[in-house]
Amino acid sequence: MHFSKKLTYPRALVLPFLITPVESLLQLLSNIISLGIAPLGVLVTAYFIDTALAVVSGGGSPYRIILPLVIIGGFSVYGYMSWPLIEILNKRREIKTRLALRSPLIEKRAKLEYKHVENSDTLDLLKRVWDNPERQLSGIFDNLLQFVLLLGTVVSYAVILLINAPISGVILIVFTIPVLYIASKGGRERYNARRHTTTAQRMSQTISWFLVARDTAAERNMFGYSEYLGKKFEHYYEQFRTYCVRINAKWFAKARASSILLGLLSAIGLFIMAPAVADGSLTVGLFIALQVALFGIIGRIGGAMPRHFESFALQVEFLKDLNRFTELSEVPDAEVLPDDSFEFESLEFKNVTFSYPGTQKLVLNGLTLKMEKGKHYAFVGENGAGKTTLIKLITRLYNNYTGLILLNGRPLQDWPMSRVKACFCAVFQDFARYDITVSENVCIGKINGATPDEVDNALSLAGFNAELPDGKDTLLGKTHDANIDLSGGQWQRLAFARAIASPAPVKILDEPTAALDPVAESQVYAQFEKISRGFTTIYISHRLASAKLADTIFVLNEGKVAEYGNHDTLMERGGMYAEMFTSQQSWYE
Amino acid sequence: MQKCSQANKAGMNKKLSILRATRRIVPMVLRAVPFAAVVHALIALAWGISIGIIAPVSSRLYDALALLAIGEAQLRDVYIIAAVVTGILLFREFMNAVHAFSVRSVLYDKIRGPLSRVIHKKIKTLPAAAFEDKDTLDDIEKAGQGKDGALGMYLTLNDVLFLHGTFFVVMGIFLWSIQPILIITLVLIFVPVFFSQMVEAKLMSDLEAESAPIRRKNAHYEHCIIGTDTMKETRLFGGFFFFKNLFTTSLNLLAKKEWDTQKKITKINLLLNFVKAAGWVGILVLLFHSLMSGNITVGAFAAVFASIDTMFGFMENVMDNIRWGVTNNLGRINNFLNLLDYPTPAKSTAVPDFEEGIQLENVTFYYPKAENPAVSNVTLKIPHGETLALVGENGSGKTTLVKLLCGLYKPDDGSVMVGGIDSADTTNDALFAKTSAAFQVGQRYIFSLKENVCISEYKSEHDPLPAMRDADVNYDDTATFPQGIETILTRDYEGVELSGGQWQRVTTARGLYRHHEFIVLDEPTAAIDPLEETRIYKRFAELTQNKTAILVTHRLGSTKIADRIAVMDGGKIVEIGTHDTLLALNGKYAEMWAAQADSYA
Repeated sequence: MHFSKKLTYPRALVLPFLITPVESLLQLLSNIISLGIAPLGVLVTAYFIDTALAVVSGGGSPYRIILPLVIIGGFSVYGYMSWPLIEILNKRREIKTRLALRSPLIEKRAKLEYKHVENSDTLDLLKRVWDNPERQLSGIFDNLLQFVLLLGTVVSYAVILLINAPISGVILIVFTIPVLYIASKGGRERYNARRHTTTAQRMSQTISWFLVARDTAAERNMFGYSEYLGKKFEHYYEQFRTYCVRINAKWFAKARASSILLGLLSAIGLFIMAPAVADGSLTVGLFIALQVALFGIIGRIGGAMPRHFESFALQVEFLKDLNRFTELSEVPDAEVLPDDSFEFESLEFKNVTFSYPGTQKLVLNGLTLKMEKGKHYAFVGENGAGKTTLIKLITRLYNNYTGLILLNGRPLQDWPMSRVKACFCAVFQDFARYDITVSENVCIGKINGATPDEVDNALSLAGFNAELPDGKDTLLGKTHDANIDLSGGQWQRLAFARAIASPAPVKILDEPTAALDPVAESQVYAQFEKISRGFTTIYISHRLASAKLADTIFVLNEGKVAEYGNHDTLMERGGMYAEMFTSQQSWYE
Repeated sequence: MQKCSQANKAGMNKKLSILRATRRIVPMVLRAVPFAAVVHALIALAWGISIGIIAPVSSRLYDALALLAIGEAQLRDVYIIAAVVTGILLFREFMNAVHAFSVRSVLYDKIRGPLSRVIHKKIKTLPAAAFEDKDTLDDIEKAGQGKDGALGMYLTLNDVLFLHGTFFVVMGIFLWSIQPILIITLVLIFVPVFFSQMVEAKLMSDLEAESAPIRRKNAHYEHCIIGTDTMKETRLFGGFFFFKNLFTTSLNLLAKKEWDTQKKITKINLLLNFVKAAGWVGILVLLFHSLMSGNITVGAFAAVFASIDTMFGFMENVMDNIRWGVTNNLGRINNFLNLLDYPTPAKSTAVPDFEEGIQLENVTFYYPKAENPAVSNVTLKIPHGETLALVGENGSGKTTLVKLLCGLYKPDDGSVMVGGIDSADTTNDALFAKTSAAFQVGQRYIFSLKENVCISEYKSEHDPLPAMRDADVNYDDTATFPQGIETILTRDYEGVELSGGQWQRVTTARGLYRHHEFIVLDEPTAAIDPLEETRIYKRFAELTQNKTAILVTHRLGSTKIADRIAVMDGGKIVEIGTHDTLLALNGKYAEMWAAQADSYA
């Protein structure tokens, strides 16, 4: 299925019939049968009791009971035997719905424009949509079905009453309406109360985390603030708790008022029916059968009705969320494979200005620069000077900039995505740790197929030397107990190996070495430079020592190139770079 | 050789029985909320009785009705009994509401808070090194869920005992009183329900054991495509189809396993439900036979008949509750109880006197379950008032040694005397009375700037501004801190988000705020710009005069402010002395110095 059209409530009801037509029809059928069985059950029970009464008061042979016994037994057998079948039907629907929905959902999410991925509101939305969407969607159909079943059962009892004791029947129908109204209000309120998580609740959860977390262990032990934060926790927790008690008290009063009301109703019904028994217009059996049925359904109306209404409210909100998600803008061809090769000539920024969506700050402010084939470039500058943003623009994660970015003289936006992917590869600061085998991890870098030799070569150039039980075929990570988790340094080398295996002519290193000490970082960069001879490289670092190696260093300040040139030129120039460098150098004099 | 810290020796995995769990948890709950617990038990009891009592009272009503139909009773008699039945029914509905309210709104949250505090208080006593043990972390993480499990178990037991139990006792008495043989009814109900639950529970737990790893993999493949840390890379390299393929394969495998299990469950349930239906018919025959032989009245016949479905329903309820509320929770409850069983070392409360300096004697330390020591056989004396710089490459053991020096970690071998006090044998309160630290990764508290600094010494009320100034926290810059020192430091609560460098300054201010005679500064400038770094180090030099201080750094240049420098390599101190002596030694330090100075040549 595809999320091209807006999923309205009616369309969501049809969805099960599109995904699982047979199962959904059977489900519908079994509900119709149940709806028929409810009133029939009352009549059969009456028949059974009346026959038993007749037999025991000397009204004929005991064998007269056999027919009602067989019928009522048949109902019971159907009830018990159909249950496992309905259960397996439900399971089948759940599984099939999951198989049908998960892939398109993931595909949609994978194609999202990157600005959505870095937006906290969208992240909240994604979290809500991702909470078992298949169950939420198939629940829409189920909820309506069960609601109709419950309502239908009440109506069918009312009809029996109408025929046999008209006044009770009218009372039941007239009073069910306000009961339903109360239930619907109660459901909505409960929904509102639940959706609204209070500040106090989140506060108490976070403080509780401070009190038990590993991250806080050192400060917690040394500063000894456990009691202090414990008091704070109790304060917020109590605030949250009393709020819940208040809300719930209101809700319970509303929801249960309806079933108490119905209880009273049934009582009235009893009182009205009794004279009918006396004058013989109502049999004892039917009286008992109706009383039992009514008393049984009261509890269900008080408990289930408001829940159905709550589910309606939840489902409408879920559909809104889902539609909001499917309407999020996509990157065309986000998922395409890179082309096999690309001839890189130059990359040019012309007066590029950029700010993150929804923010005012100009992260890039008239950036102009040019990079050419085969050279090594470094970007330095303070935190927030725009270094990492630059990479996000080059790799087309963002495109809402003004000015021009030219790849081989042609606007970057005009290149097909497969060409852009063929041109650039990157090792990011938060490089990925894929829980697949070592060689698969490397092959991601050359997704169109790397030979075993290429994998070996990339691994050895990257200095990957972890000792693993199954060599390159060892499964990595933590998702399975049998997987082997690597040290941070080895994961990093694996990320480098991925970039080395990639045939892309431009290789970008976006501070993947933040955890290393400066000397180790310099070594990594020097090694990478050696590996990437013939390629174009772009290094990003706030450590100056590693920038020294570059052919051209761009010093970014406030979204612009403040100065550029190689190390020597910049030192001679005596500008910002020279000042920063000298400051660090002064420690070593 | 493998050494374990004290905490992880407690990671005992005693098999937890329902009985043992009950013995621990029930008193815990009763201690925390005695009144609410008793009230709740009474509510369940009253509800249980009101459900059970309907059958005997109804039997009177039906008898009266039968008499009414043949004109042998007055309408008034029927009305009186009908009124009683109605009263009980309304009471039943009312108790149902009260019970639900009591569970969900009162008892649950009332117990949850105190149980969380039980965990907090226990964790307060765990040594810092315990948090480096995967098993301990597992216990801690699952203790949170285990606490909820314990709560669920308590509520389940309460209901099974007082609600369902009472119902069946009332029904049992009723059945016995009308005809003892009818007690068989309860057996006919219990047996099929019990077996069907047992089988289903077994099949489901087998399925869970098989599918949990597949589900974890499946979730990871999904993460590879859409995770915030992986998405950029997967997209750029074109890895979507690769991971989607893995994702779909594992999803299909999962579906197949689920389906196979469901088929088995269905087969068995069809069989057992046939037994249930047969039991149902059996009860009917038994009833009719009793009626025919004149042993029970028409009313009793009809009342029992009307209760059969309720009895089946309640029996299924009991089994379900025990399965979901108790059996399935036992594992997590075990983690919770395990955590509470970690030993709390008895400690002395003598306070260090830093005139005596800090002394390490042959100190060796292993991280829990580690093969090799992180610090091995270190002997070191730090005299009063000295500033010692600790340098070395990543992974050389600097941070571990510094945690041993201040007493956060206890040595596995050898001794650490902090100000004349044995660190292994002293409470945190006493040991850290005059110690402070700015850790490499400072915690980001969701409070105000002021509280973020003052949390290091929450009891004192002295002015936090000097500490902030010393750490270069520009609290009066309204662009960064719109509400000055009252600015909340998280966007989640309408505050601001700080950069890594800003946070590092706040962490340093936190360390400086706490009253100290001894302070640890662990890489305090890693996220700070080069220009400012120079300034901050110069200030440290002034602040640490006359105080014992340890400065961990990988920037060798900054060691100039130290009196002595210790060089670590492979968990050992390989060189120690002043900058000049170490350079003259021409060893590890000289080599590192040359390499770094070279990068700035």
